[in-house]
Amino acid sequence: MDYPRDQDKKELPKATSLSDEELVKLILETKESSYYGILYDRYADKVYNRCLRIIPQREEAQDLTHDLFIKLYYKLKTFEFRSSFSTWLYRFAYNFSLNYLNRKHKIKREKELELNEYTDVEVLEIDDSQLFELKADKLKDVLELINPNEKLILLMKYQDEFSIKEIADTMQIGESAVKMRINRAKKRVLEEYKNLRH
Amino acid sequence: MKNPFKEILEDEQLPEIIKNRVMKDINLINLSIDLADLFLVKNPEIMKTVFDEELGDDAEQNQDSEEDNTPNQ
Repeated sequence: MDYPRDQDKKELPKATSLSDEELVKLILETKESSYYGILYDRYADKVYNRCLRIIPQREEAQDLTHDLFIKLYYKLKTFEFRSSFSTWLYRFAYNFSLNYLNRKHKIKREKELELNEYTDVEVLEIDDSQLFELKADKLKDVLELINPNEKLILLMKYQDEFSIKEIADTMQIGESAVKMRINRAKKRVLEEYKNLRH
Repeated sequence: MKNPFKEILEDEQLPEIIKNRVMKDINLINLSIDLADLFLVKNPEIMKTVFDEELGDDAEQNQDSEEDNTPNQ
């Protein structure tokens, strides 16, 4: 295994003061895993908590975070320095989790098509204020009851405040489809919330 | 208006053992890639250069000897 050499020992403290983007450049240039360790320390808990929101079982979320950080190391070269590294990372994390969920639930093509047909049916637009009136503890329970994909899209929109375009890029669907899915998810949440009260 | 989604944010710590596993796995994958590169790309390239040079030398020698054997007219 790799052990830090004397030179690396001197370089590492310097690297901790670098910005995320500079650190990514350094990792890509040197391929040094100890620099990646610094980036890991900065984001591991944040990414883990995002995984935990999608997969509530701790062990499974930890395994997912582990796999995500390994894939991330080899995907760093695809970061184009257009957005901030954190935004790119959270999008990567959601995308990775989404793929994991789809693999886990083995969503078949036919089911997806069925789902797309359903999205074409117009749903009356639900105002955000209706969602913000909900109690946080009950909302948490409701999010466990709805489809994980619907939960994910709501978390991206209202917790991480992703724009419609960012969600569309992450989920690789059109912006109008995103809007429709958000609206459908909001409707589901309100329905489940109503049922929970009774 | 207060956003209830912000209130349900989790704040859990990821165990240190996961970091050790991630770094170990990355180092192992990097080592495998380097070894594969050495034996499957760099080594054949070196062999190719060696053989090309040897074949080149042989060809030159053959050409020289052929020139020597050509009778003077």
